Amino acid sequence: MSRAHWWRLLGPPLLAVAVLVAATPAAALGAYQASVDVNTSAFNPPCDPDVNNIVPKMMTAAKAAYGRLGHVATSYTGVDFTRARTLARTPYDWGYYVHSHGDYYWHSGDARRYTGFREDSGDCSQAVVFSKDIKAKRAGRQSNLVFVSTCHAADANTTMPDAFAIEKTKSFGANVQGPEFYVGYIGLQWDSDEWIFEQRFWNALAAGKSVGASFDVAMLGAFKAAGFDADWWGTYQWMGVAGPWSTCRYCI
Amino acid sequence: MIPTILRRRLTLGGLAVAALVAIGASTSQGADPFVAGGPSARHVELPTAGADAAKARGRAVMAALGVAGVRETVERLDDRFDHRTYDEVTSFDSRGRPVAISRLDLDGSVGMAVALGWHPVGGGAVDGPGAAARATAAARAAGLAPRGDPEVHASAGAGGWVVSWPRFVGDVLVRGDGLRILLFADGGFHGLTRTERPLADVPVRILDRDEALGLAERALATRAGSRAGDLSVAAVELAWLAPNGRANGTMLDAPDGTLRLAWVVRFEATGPLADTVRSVEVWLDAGAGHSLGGDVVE
Repeated sequence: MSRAHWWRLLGPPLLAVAVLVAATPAAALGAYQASVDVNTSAFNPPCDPDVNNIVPKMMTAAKAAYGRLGHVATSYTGVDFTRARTLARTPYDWGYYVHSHGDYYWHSGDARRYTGFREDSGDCSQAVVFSKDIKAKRAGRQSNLVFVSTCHAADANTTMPDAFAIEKTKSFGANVQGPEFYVGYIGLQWDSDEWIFEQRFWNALAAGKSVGASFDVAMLGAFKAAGFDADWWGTYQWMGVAGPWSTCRYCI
Repeated sequence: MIPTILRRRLTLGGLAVAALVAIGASTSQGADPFVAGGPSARHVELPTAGADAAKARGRAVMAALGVAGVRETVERLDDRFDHRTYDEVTSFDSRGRPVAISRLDLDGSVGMAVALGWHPVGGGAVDGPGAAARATAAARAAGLAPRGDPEVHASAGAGGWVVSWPRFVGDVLVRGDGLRILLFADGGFHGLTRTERPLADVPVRILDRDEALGLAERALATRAGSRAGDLSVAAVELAWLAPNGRANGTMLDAPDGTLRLAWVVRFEATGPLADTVRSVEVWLDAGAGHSLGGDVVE
């Protein structure tokens, strides 16, 4: 059989496969889910006397950023961001971003403290999502980029990275700990500074910098607070791409 | 039923309105072209001679700061978030890893420099005064001349210390401006940023403190009803700042590129409000008293 004839026979099925692959929804191909939870209600009237227009910008930017990294990202706020819904989603999240009120909260049942954040729930009475709640639901599954945009999320005693199975170590060079990176703020921070940090971080990632390099660039913003601080744990030279470990060009 | 001629006129009028709305939208985007969700920097053409000069300058700056690269790349970026155009030079080591980034203003001066990577915390850590001395030396190596005693803060994100020389105009702080240097715990250079944004004219008449406080309290009271009582005044001060809102109450996606003199009224939350909000700042134009935006600690 001639070479040209082979191609004629193979052409239609190859074309059909190509069309099918292109048309298959990302979810059916094992899409990497990312959830973006943002507390809007707490920081606007009637819960807070002052209107906060920074928070919607953070939500838009985070969702777009996770999308650029290859995640199927969805944002949730109001009644869609509740403790129950967040915990129902978290086992399927590869990426996670949350912006809310955060603290090292007392857990009366365990008589100890855990890092946590408040749900939105669409009203002014907002339950705490403790790190232990997330940890129980995720049961050690792999996380990618986790950005906890709350106060105290990256304090030295934070329990939140462990909820996402991210060890609190800084891996650099040939030393890697997988395709994971945790970012959070230290102590109390102003929203305007957090927004500057986050936009710089997302922009650096979009430009192809590693997660660690993006963090370093983000730390050099024009922050109003002299004591602005954030911290990270994970693999510095990972590029932030969604999914399991594949290659790391600069992990040498 | 609408007569045909009237319908045509309404249609034409509608088109005209739509065109005006579109022009208005375009104009407002021109004033604030950064839109949340998109990257903030876009490429600008850089001539070959300029590229070579920037790479040489970037290499020299990073070498002076103790980071040796063997190869550089450069791109000119229009940063709509920072309202700055700069040449970003990335330095690579002999194994092809990026080891440093420098951002040079178009006159070659250093706007930002960062040594990529991490120094594990070990022995030989420097203390606060030691960090100040190391930062001063780094600033001079980069061609900058900081004056006065710096502020020194321990910083986990920096890897050790943040040493800063904030900018003042008279006695008034220019928020976010000045020179800031990040050091690893061992005193090694980590990052540098220098910011000096344009300032608007000082208002002819500046509201007094009580006028500003009254305006801020009234603004909160009308928005919040009973919960306004959960906020108590913590500070009222003048500052130069980048507005994040307009006088009409709409907000900017990026902080404004020109700083304005403002009354900053800070409130601390008490009662049930403190479950979710810690502090609130109201920013008022120091002359006209209108809103320049605000801020919150959640």
